[in-house]
Amino acid sequence: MTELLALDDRARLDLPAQLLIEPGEDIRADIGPGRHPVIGVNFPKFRDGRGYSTARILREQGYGGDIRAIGDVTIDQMLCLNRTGFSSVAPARPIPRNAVETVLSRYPAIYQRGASNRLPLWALRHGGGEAAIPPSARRYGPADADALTRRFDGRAEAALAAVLTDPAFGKVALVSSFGAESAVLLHQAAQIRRDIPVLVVDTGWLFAETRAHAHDLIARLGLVNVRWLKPDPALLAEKDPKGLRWSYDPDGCCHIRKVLPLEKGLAGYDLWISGRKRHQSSTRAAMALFEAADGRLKLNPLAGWTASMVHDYARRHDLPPHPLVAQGYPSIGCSPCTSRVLPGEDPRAGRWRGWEKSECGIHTAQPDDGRNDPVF
Amino acid sequence: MVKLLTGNRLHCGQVIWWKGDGWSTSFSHAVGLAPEDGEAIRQRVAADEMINDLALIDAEEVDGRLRPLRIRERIRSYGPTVRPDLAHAGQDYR
Amino acid sequence: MYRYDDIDRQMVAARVAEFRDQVTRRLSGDLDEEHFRPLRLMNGLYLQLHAYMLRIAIPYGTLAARQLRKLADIARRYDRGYGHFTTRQNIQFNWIKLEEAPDILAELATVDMHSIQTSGNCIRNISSDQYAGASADEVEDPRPWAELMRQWSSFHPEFSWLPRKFKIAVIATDADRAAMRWHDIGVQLVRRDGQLGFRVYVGGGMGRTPLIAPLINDFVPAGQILSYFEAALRVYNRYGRRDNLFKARIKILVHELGAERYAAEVAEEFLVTSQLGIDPPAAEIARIRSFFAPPLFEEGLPESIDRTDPDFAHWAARQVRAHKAPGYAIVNISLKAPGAIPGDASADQMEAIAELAERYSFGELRVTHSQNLVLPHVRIIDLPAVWAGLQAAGLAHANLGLASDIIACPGLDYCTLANARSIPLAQKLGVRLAPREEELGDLKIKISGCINACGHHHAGHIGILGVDRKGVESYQLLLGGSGEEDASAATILGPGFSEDGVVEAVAAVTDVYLAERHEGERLLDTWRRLGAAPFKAAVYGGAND
Repeated sequence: MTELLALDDRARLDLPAQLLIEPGEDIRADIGPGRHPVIGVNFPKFRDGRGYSTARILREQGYGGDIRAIGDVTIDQMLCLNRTGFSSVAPARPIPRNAVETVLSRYPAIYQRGASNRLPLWALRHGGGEAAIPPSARRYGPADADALTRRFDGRAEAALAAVLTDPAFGKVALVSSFGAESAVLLHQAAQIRRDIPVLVVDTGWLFAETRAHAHDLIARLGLVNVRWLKPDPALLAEKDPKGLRWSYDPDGCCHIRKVLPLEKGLAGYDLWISGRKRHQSSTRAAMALFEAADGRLKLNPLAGWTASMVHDYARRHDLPPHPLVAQGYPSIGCSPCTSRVLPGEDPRAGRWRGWEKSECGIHTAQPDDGRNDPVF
Repeated sequence: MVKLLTGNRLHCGQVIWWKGDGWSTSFSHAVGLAPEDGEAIRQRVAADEMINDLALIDAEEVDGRLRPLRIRERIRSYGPTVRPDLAHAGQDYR
Repeated sequence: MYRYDDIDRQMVAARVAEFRDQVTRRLSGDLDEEHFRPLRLMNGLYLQLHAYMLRIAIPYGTLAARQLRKLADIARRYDRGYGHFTTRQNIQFNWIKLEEAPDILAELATVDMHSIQTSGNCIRNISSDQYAGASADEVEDPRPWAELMRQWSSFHPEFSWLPRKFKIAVIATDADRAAMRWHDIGVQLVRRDGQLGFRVYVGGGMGRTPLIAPLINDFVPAGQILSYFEAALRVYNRYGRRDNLFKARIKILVHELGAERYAAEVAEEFLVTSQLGIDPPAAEIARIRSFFAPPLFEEGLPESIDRTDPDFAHWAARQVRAHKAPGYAIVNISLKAPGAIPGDASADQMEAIAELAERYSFGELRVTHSQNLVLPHVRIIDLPAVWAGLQAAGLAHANLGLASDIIACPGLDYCTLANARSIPLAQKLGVRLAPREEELGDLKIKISGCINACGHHHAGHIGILGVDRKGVESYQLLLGGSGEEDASAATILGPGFSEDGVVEAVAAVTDVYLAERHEGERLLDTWRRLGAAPFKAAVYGGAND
């Protein structure tokens, strides 16, 4: 997330004179970094931009305390303040609190380095992006997801750009099945960061067509960081030695071949991006833009997309279709458990046909009460 | 010499002239004001944030018609002199 | 030319949304004019004499045919059917409504255009050589660097509220076609010992105090130019004067400190800024450069053409310049027919030019600082067809660099700052001098309607400045300026004139030149050799000295 500026409605703190910096004061000479919890920077007129240099220089010198913009400060300066290292604002005239977040999250990226460690667009275009992003220490909960869903309401593309470019979100991965509709999200993400880690769960039962499609897309989009997550061979030897578990215990099969490898693959990530859409099935109809599970955020940038939007996007950007789509598979999972879909059926009706199962388990919360444990 | 009150509408930028009981986009409706009256009206309407560049300008009466003293205001009342096709009909900037 | 990626596009869309929000707040009264004005200016929206004026950037002067078509469309739908090309590679529309401005910006965004930072006290549109990528004498195409600077300067958080406006020009040739040294920062791309770098000039500018930028650093490695700019701008942002509007430009700071001390301050700041990770890797400039790869020029094309039609031959000799690719030529389109409004083009003309660009110039166009247009990559064998197309659109006038190729600001016909009209004077001078302009040769006449010098009068061989003398338009005559590599500031010859008086005075100056010139001399050279005396005598009858 964009670092938020705190609003302080008291017009001016009682700062000692040497800690209230006036425009044009020589801060390099006077202020030893680190000793004061707050430094105020005065804006006698909003058009006087010297304070932006002041804050940035303080940050460059390693000052880690609160830098407060004081005086004729308006909502329309928030972005510059935020990006030059200010951490709070004491405006002479009140600023509507809810407007601040909108303003700070409006731009999907930055063109040049500022005071924070947020990466400029060029850094993201040329990789090196992920290495520079530390995992965030925090665990995300439903309140974070709700707040983000509200902040990016109706702006899913901006949300995608934000999580891909703003290190404040922590480490981010995209999870793709390289299935029937995966190309759209991969294309959108690759436009922003070709080095985005793309996690693919390789269950061992993927269609040959899926592999071919994946390699085609990876080459076309220039993806440079695709990771194939495979099931633990020891676990396979123990639980599915003959490779037939899918036929009598699909939940258990999904668990060892999909859920566990993904869990392992996502370790260390703060947020993952999924291409699920509400229209795909009744179980997905109420999906929010951001969700939280296991302390991690999940972004569903295509949640609101319809089949025809996907189709139009793919055509507009000349994206190759999954070879099985033309053969009647609108949703593609593992070869044993995916069948053709008939006209009028849910697109996911061909998954685990004959079983009361519509999700593999990676998108459903797993309560730890034992009820949903697989049968082994 | 009289004063004219003029400005530009905020939402469209159009030039407007004080016609005594409100504004007109046509200079022919402008009314000459005594300086103190003009200033009083200016201060009264200045609170209206929907007008920009509010100004009291000098004008004279020539042959029964008002004429701003400065060429700048005459051009404002007429339009760009190099595009008579876009000018206000019936006006003259000379 | 550069193509936006999805993020570039989203950045512009975000700016449109931001401005739409600001306009809504202004119209609802939530935002007062004092706070709104700088915001609209940073989106290129001025309030002029008759309406709002919108200034749209044409970064480094490169324009695609589809973009010109969109400009024509905007001229028709939101304006009065024409636009005005400016001396800094922008286009202006004169009859804009504030309430429609956000919609126009959204329209522009569909063709990757914007008005971001075309006004305000921030870094303005980056300008460049109109022949970039087409002329043989360049070190390399400067536009990828200009694009790099465009992105870096867009929404710069530290430099959006500078003491005053800030203009940067980038060239890559010894010939200066961009008035580089008249800019706040002018840089020339050079190669030294195989290394690319910039020669950096800081502190040029026109206005009340004309100053030509001194050399501040004769070689900044190209890969560090952005962190060097940050240092140069930070010194300005912190120490530039904010107490007096007329002394707020960086030229005053550099002048008052002295170039040497300013350079030392920048060098010290550069020790910091060069360590902040401000400069993108070589891969980014390589990425941008790939968009400016030369078009696929055909090989083996004929390099000469039948010039027996004297009208065609006259036009071709005057308007066509050599291209780096054999069989190709650079075509200059004059927006200065005598009697026309310098820099104005109608929507119909824009479309006709776009059509010619699509058919004959790989869909590409350029805008020049002298308010003309360029088809940069035309096959020599296509020149007659291009000429015919220009004739049909009324654009085949041949006066490039001649007396009637006059730079003029909008002046008091449109501009709220002007003291006198510029356009009618340009029209009269053009008509008066056109009959003997071939004889007069290279002659740059530049007219400004006020001291702000948007018409570059300081840089004219002949410069004219409009002033207000007790409510009456009056004109001062200046001689001896240049905006090229031999940059110099013109000096005032003597007392001012009426409009007709200054036309006669200019005619008298040209008479002196024709009488006194040595072989190969431009009027500027004759002036430099002889000084003011003979010109003063001719203009003022010897009564003044």
